[in-house]
Formats: sequence, structure tokens, C-alpha cells
Amino acid sequence: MASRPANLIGSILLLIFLLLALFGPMLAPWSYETIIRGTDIGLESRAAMRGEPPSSQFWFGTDQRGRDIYSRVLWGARQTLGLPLIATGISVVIGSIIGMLIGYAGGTLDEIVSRILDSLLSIPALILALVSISTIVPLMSDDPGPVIEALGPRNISLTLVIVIVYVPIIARVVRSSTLSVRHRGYIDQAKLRGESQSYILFRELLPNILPTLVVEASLRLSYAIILVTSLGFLGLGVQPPVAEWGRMVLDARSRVLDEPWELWIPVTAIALLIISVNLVSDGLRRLLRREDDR
Amino acid sequence: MISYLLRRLGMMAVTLMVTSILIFALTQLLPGDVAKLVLGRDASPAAVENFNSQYGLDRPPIEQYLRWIGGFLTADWGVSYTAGAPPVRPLVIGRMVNSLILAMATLLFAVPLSLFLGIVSAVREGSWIDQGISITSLAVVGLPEFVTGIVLINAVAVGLGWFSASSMVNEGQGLLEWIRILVLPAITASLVLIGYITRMTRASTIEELKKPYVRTALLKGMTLRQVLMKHVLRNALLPSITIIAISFGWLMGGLVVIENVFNYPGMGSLLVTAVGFKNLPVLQSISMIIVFYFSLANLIADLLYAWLNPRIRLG
Amino acid sequence: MNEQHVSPAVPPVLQAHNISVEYRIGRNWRNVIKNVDLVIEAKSIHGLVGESGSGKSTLGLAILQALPRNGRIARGELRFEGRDMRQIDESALRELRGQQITFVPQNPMDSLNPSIRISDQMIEAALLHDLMDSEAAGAHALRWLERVHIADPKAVADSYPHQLSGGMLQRVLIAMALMHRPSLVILDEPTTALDVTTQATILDLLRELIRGQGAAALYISHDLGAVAELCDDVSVMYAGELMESGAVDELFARPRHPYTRGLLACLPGKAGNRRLRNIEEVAPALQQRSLACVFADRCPHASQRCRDRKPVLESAFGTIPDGVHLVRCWHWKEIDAEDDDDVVPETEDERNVPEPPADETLFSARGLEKSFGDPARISLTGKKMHQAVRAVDNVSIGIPRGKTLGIVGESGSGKTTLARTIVALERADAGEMELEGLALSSRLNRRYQQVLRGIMMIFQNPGDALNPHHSAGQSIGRTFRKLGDPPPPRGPRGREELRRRVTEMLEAVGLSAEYYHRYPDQLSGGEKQRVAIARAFAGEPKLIIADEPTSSLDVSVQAVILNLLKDLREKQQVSYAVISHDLEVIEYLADHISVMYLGEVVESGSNQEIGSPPYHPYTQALLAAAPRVEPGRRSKPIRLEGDIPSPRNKPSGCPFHTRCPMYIGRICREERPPLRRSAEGHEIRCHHTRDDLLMWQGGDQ
Repeated sequence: MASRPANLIGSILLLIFLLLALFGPMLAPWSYETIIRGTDIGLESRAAMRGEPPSSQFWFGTDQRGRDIYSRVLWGARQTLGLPLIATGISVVIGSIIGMLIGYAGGTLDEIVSRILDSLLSIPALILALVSISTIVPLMSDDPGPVIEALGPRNISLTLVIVIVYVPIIARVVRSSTLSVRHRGYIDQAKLRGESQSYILFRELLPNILPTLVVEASLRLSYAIILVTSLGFLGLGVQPPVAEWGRMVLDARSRVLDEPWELWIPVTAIALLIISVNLVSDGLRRLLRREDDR
Repeated sequence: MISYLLRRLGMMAVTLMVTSILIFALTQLLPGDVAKLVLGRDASPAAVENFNSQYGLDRPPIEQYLRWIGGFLTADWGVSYTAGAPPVRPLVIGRMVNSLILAMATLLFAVPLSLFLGIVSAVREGSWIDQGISITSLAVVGLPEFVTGIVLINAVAVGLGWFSASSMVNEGQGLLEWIRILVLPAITASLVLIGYITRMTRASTIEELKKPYVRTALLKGMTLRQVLMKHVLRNALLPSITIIAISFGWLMGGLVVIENVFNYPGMGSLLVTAVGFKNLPVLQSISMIIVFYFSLANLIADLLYAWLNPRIRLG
Repeated sequence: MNEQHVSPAVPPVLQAHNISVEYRIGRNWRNVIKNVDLVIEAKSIHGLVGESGSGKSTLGLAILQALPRNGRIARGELRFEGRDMRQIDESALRELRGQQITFVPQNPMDSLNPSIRISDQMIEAALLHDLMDSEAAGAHALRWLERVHIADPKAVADSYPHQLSGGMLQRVLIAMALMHRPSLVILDEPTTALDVTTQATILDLLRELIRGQGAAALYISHDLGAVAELCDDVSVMYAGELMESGAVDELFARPRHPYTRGLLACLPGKAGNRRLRNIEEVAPALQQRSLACVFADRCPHASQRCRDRKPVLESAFGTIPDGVHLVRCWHWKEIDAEDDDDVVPETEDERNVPEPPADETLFSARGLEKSFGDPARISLTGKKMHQAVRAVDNVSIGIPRGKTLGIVGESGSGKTTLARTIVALERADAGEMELEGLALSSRLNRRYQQVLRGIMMIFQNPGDALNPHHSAGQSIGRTFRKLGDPPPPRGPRGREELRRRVTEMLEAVGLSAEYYHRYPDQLSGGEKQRVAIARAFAGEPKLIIADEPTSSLDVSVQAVILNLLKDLREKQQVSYAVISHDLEVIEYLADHISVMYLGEVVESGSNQEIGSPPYHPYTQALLAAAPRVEPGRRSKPIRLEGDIPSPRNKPSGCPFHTRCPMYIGRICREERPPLRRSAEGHEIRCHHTRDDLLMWQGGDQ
């Protein structure tokens, strides 16, 4: 059966979100932290435009402090999708190198590293994130070098947390698919030709575990977004005034009766983003499985 | 079987030891200066010194770890950094019981439903029922818990006025009140589990249905239903049993967000507060408890699997 | 044996007329079986022969009304004991199943439920059909376990499937199929997954029990030898159509259809030293099937008529009175007249090729040992605490230049480990190896490039030996780059030269240049093996180790590959070590043969010496076990008791003593037998003297 229409819709949605993460700030009419006053839009009053409902002026309305929600959603895409994307990418690279190495080498190295990975995996992801965030954030903020300062200590901390949580998971997945390929005839043939370890790992082995890796990476991206928004919702993620959708939900919760749009817009954005990533991941899985069957 | 049990127990002990070191290192050693975390960057040196000696933070790391883990094993979980320095143990245990109740309620709801959905979509593989279950689970079930939680609260509790949006547990409440409080958080937690268990059950049932022994049984003259009940499910549900046991462990950690959404007085909400206030003794104790349940669930999963599977039971 | 079913008074058990079966692929229905007729007479065993893709198993499932969900019988008539099976309702069909019509599957290991005891699975049908109460059914099951020659029925009944060997499980399945006196048993490749010596006992058992029960049977198999020994009638299928059918003795003695003739001529056992007759390997293009004869593309006799119109099934009167012999070919009469005995084609005798200089040793190995798993070591996870397996136990072999050593053995004989130890994919625990007089390291990364170039290996499963992400050209080209002598230079010139050399190599194995860009999933099994062979020859090796080079291929493709290997040996002046479980393949290719059992060489000598007495008792059993197409040959005296012991618990003394028909007691059990060598160098490791063996074995020749 061909890819379902739902998978296609998911891919288009995800593409839009990706473009938002890249160009959102350029499209945004306001900055994420600007408190809009009446004079800014040609009114008499200098009062902040708090809790304006959606209109042609403010597409998604304004929040309780008078900031444009549409602009904040656009800016927030970078935090909500961009950061997990980069963090997942780093985890995939590190995790697959570790997984391939220990899976291919086997023996004592494999047993020791696997044991450590298993121990890390026996700490639930969110708990590991909470435990490490409590130390990494102060560590980063305490004496930030110029690089960390430029990228934002919080961003670096969150990225590190995601990497700590996901490297063991990815390493274990890659290890097990490496194990299933390791004894194939073509690997033996490469050994008999006297190929180097790196040729065998990257030219013979890697292409064959790539499908698994791609599916796993897309799955991880979805979980990374959930992690980042959940931390935001718990008040432990990106700190205000930076816009991030999970944090926006937290801030709007208490105002749901007065300004419902302020809550539902970020909630909808998160839901759409997660659904689109999941649909793409599901589509990839179907596609690659069919390829395997061929 | 006995040797398997002992080996598995030994593995669990090793894992717990390694994780306790990891947790300790991550919380207490990396930043170097816990006192400044708690007292603030501008704390006077005297205050820092005082704090360090009060909590034994001026000792060598190995000694600190041994004291901490020794205390943890002998029911001395230290005192909280919060005002009045209350002992951690009674605080955490009370919350733990609440979390356990929520976890059990979730499993009671999620497990039968997801096994049913998984088996139905496997038997009807490719039909609209299967497609529907799969699309729904992709769309709804993968959402973060706080999103589904907020939707449920506003739709059901606020909108319709049913159940309870927040979970103020009072002493001496009736059972009915408990159920009212538990329903929404349990459903929210279930949504995640249902998607996961349904998918695994479907996959393992489909795989099992393809095995040649199914044909052998059908060609004895059995109906598909008979084959399913007598032959397929006992093999297909083996992985699901493992998944369910692991889910219990996952729930203990996964409830963190849900407890916060619903203000449910469990370990999770306490944990978030502890992270916010850098309350290390509480943070460490809760993490260890959750890791313990998680490992215990894994152990039970493995043992159940081995016990139900003659290939492992009889070697 | 034929008399019983010839009697016209008894109606046939099964009549299939004009059956067509379709599978749904996407939105289309594709025809996989077309207009097949099949008649199974009462109390007879009907063989259904064909290669993979012929639709033989699908036909079996169609008769059982057990096609997969995307399959259906599109047309035709199917009658079982006169009842119309296509009109029968679901519950009546279930009543037939398990009682009147039963099934013995191909893979015994997966065909029983792993988590239910044998006894409970055996009594299930009886309880389901209300034939007896559970106590009686239990007793009945035990009786039947005895009847399938299981030594300890009680213990087997209480076991779970994983505790039993494949041969045992197949006995259980046979008992289950026969215990309620069925009228028709359908057997789908019931011995394919089993070792040769086990297969022989299972065939004996089937013959005894099916005939004893007075049942009729459909025996589906790719193995012509097994069909020849077991069946009364035979039908030959190709690409979903029936090509020829008739009584076994008649059809195998006088095959009429070019495909049947080709198949029989492919069998290496009948060829002696001659080249095998090839059926050119062409993947049948499914679209062209509707009008032409399905075999036309591969048929040496095909004419325009064959491509325009499909031949009809004609009657060719047999030599046996009343025997029906049907053939679907336009030209069977002409072919029959023109080359009457092309069954054994008289082509050029390979022995005329000048002999290489006498017996200069190219490769030798002395005292090779390889064990797996060290009992002293307990891994961190505790998972690997198994006993040591002595996979290769003090093995010495020698391969003369330009000659072929055949190593034959069943599963657990250590033959594959021996191969992997020689090429150093496994590191030998002890022993020495020499290539052209130079000592070889037992570690791969210590072998010089000259050595790597000198020894190449061809694997059993060509699908596994080619990286799915590298094209045929890339696979071969890489070998030229690493091992070519000289390697092609870098730069565009070098690339051009590399391309030329790869193309030459492809042509040498009979593939055109356009295969350069094909990926493994675009190749058939035979083509994959050709690419693997081309790759092995790219470094101009002196020795090629071929591990079961044809065991995953169809008979007709096997013949092509065997011929190719033989041709390349003459052309490229290499030596082979060919490893196989199939004595016929070994006999066809090898000059010298070593017979392995549980990690030891029990007999070695020239091809002729192995083929005649005195033999090691195991060799004798192996020779007797291999089913062959020799009309009239039915019973054989030597059968081995039980299954091959696990190498994990290797018997003491002579490893063969637990199954040996010439077992003489304590000495066999406790002492390692001496090596008895003839003047010509023929070696047998046995406690019996050569003269004793000769006396014992000379009689049954």
C-alpha cells in the first residue's frame, strides 16, 4: 500500500514548521518581548494592549502582558523545534558511533559500555532530564564563556540534557542493529579483502543500519520536542521572556477563562507539531520497511 | 529458574549501584558548590562553610556518596533544605503512596483496553478498524501529557463540570471522592500507555499469526477464534506482559508532568519543586525511588517472561 | 507396489480439474497457478515436483482450502472423495480437516506451538472432533509416538517442542497427521529442513505408515530423488503450470518434456565426470505467460509455435500398461525420437584436459582445532555460560595444486567452522597451515596481502554475501582495488581500466556488462552467486574455499553454478575446497574427499576410494541415505539410529559410536579409533580393520 495521505499531510506540516523555525523571526511583525502599547498601532492610549482577542491587527491576539502572540509563536518555533532538532542530531551522531563501535567490537568493551548504558536507561528519561538540569543549568550560568553566552546558557543546558538522555537510547538501538548485520557474509568478505575497520564500519555497515537509524531519529525528535515543551511547562526549560510554546502554555493556564486564545494557540501549535513529526516518522517506517521487503 | 532469578537479582543490584553513583554524581559532584546553589551566588563565605559542614558537603566525594547511600539504605534519607529542615523520608513516602495509587488506577484502565485494541487491529490487519486505531493512536496518543491533560480539564472538568480538575486530597475522603480525583489524571496517563501497548500487542500478534504453527492448528479443523485463544495469544501476549510491567516503571517517572497538570500530590510534583529549589536530598531520594521501581518492574517483566515461556523456563 | 492403485474399481481420492489460483498484489489479481489437473488415486502417493516459484506449495494449500488471505481459487473443480470442495461450507471443511485431510508441513521446528506440550498438541484434533475423551486420546497419542519409532514416547509427550530435534518433531507431526486414519495426507517438503541421514529414516517411516494406513498422499518436493523413492505417481510443475505427469517408474525412465529431461540431467549424481546439462536460467517474465508455453524461454527445442500458442496436455502412452503419461509440449514426439538418451548427455569428457603436474601440495593444514565458548569464563551478564563446543577437532587436510578437495558432512560436523578457520575468519586454537610452503598466521590481520589474495571464499547464501547497498560492479571492483595484481591505478584512466576488468570478470561468469550497475535485489539467486564467484576470482586466488556454494539454489541453477565452477577451475588454474552436505555435489566436483562427523575427519581419500568399500560406517550410511533417481531402486539396508548428537555433548571415544551399525562395545565408547591408511593414502578412522570393513560392506554392493 502506498504511503497514506495522512503521512503526506504530516510531511507538509512538518516542512512548514521547519520553515518557521528558520525564518519565523523575520516574518514576525513584533519581537517576542515587545510589550505593545496603544501608540505603537496608532491609538491615543499609551496603555499596554493586554489580552486583546484575535483580530486583523493581532492575528492570534495578545497575551496578558500585551505581547503579540502570533509573533511569539513564530519566534518560539526556533526554541520548540530548532533546539530539539539540533540536540537530536548531536545525539544521533554520538549515539550511533558508540553503538556501532561496541556492536562491532563486541567482547569486554561491549559489555562494560552496555552496562553503563543500561544503567543510564534505567533512569526514566524525564527524571534523568530533571536530575541533570538541576546541575547543568547553574554550571552553565555560573561562569559562561563567550560562546555559551552567545548561544544562551539555557539553550546549551537543554541541548546537553537531551544529549545525555538520548545518547544511550540511540546507542543501544544502533548496537543491536549492528549486531544483526555484523555476521553477514559481506562483512566477512570485506575482512577477507583486508579492509580497514573504518571502511567496514562506514561503508559496509552504516548503509545497512541507516534505515533503522532514520526511523529512530525521527522518533527521538518527537520525544525531544515533548521533553523541551514539558520542561517549559514545568517552568524548568527556556526562561522568560524568550518565547517557547510549553512555557507559553504554563503562563496562560491561569487565564484560560479570560483569554482562552492565549492557552489554545500554543496548545494547538504543540499538538500539530508533534502529530506532524509522528506522521512523518510513521511514514518513514512504512517506507523503509517496504524497502527491506523488496 | 532459581539460578536465573539469582542472576537477574544480581544484575539489578549492579544496575542500582551504578545508577545511584550516576544520580549522586549528577546532582552533587558536578557543580562543585551546592551551597552557592542553595544560598545564592552572593552568600557569605561563612554561611557557605556553615551550610557545607551542616550537610557534610566538605567531606571527600567518596565519603559523601557512602554516607548518602548508606543512609538511604538504612532509612535515613537526610533532611530537606527547606525551612525547618524536615526529614525527607516521611514526606517522600506519603507522596509515593499517592503516586502508586494513580499508577495502579492508570494500569487498570489502560491495560485491558489496549490489549483488546491491539488484538482486534492485528486480527483485522489492514481493515478500516486497524487503520483507524493506528491513525488515532498516532495523532492523539503521541501528544505530551500536559497537552492532553489541559484539553481534558477544560473539556470535561471545566466545560461539563464533571470530575475534579485539581486534586486536593483531604484526610478522610470517601472512595467516591478519590475516584473523582483519579479519573482525569489516570485517563491522561492512559493515553500514552494505550498507544504504546496497543502498538506492541498488534505487532506481536501479527507476527505470531504468521508462524507455521497457526497453520498446523487451523488444519486440525479449528476456527480462527479457537486458534487465537488456544494457540496464538499465549505467545503473542508474552511481549505485552513485559511491556505492561515496564509501563508500571515508566509510570512512576511519567507521572511527573501529569501530577503537575492536575496538582496531584504525588512524588512527581514534589520532584519538580525540589528541582526548582535545588533541594538535593529530596531530589536524590525521589530519583532513587523511581529508579528502584523502574528496575523492579524490569525484573518482574523478565521473570514473568521467563516463567511463562517454556523455552527459557526449561532451558 | 503399483498394483494396488491401478485397480479401476476404487474412485480417486482427489480430483482437481483445471484449477487456477490467484494472488492479490496491490489492486491486481495475479495468476500463480493456471489450469492444473491433478488426480490422486486411493492408497497411492503422488509426488508434486517443481523448483521454487513453480507453485507446488500453493497448489497444496489450495487443495487444503488454506490459501493465505490474499489468495483465492479463481477457477476449476476440486473434488475430495466425490464431494465438491469449492462449494463446501466452513464447518464441513473444518470437520474434514484434522481427520480426513491432514497436513505435514515443511519446517517442523516452527510448526508446533512452542509453549504447549507435545501431548496436548497431539490430542487436540481428537478432542476437537469429539473422536475420543482426553484419556483415550492421550493413550492413542502415546501409541502413535511409538509407531513413528520414538524410543521414549512418554518423555517426548511431556516435552515442549524446543526440547526436541527437528527429526523428532517431524515424527510427531507425521504421527499427528496419520493418527486419525485420514484419506489424504498432504506433505509439503517434509524433509527439506532435515539432515540427509535423518531424511532417509523419515522417508522410510512415511512409506511404511502411509501404506500401512491405506491413506493416499500428495508429496510436494523439489527433491527428485526423494520423490523417485517414495511415490507411485508424479506431476512436474513449472511456473504455475503442469508440464508432465505419470507413474514414477515410467516418467523418470522416459521423461518426455524438455523441462523434466533437463531437471533429471541436472542432477550431479548421474553425470559422473561429464558436464551437467544446463537449463538456461531465465527469470520467467510474468506478462508474457498468457499466450506462450511458459517454458519456451528456457527450452532448447522452442519453436515459433511454442511462443505463439500454449501447448495442450497430451497423452503419451507409457510403457506400463494402463499407466497414464501426460505431457504439455508441442514437440515431445520429435524430441523423443531425435535424442533418445539426452538424459545423460554425451558431451566432452572433462578428463581429457591435461592433468596438472602430479600432486604438488598447494595448501595443507595439520592438527587444526577450534572450540567455541570457554566454560571457565562467566560473562558479566551471565548470558554466555555454555559448555565448550569442539567444532573442529584435530583436522588435517591437504589440497594439491589445481585439484579439488571435497569436504562432506551433515549439520554439526564442523565443516563450515573448518572453512572459516582456514581463511582466518575464526582464529584456530591450535594447528598449522601452509600455502605454497609458507606458514600462514591463524589471525586475519597478520596475514600478508599476498596471502589474502591467495585464498578467497564463496559463501553459502549469496543474498547475504553481497552488500545490498553496493552494485555488482562496485563489489567486484573493490576487490580489484584491494587485491588486484597489479591494482588499477588511481585517476580516470584507472577507473576506465577497472571498469574493463570488472566487465571481463562479469563475462567470465556468464553475465553481460549491463549487470555492472545492478544491485543485489535486482538479481536472481543464481545471478547473485555468479557475482559472488566473480568477486572471489578478482584477486586471482590460488585457492577458493566454497562453503555450500549451491545449497540455497534450485537444481537447475545449481547445475549452472557447478559447471561454472568447473570451467573456471580449468581456466584460472585454481584449487578448490568445496564444502557441502550434498554428497552428489561433492562427488561431481571433487578429486579428493574428506568426510567429517562432529568435528573430525572420519574418512578421506580419492573420489573413487570414497565411493567404494571399504568405507567408514558413517560414509556408508551417508551414501545409502542420499535419495537418487534410479527407477526400481527402493530399499536400502543402512539406516542410522537417532539424530546427530549435539556437538555440545560430543560422545567420547569414537564420536560415531552412538549411531554406528558396527558398534562393538567398550573400545568404541572409550578409545579414539586409529587412522587406518591404505598404500594409496586412503584413510579411515575406525576400530575395525580395513579388511573387516571390506568383508562387512562388500556384501551389499
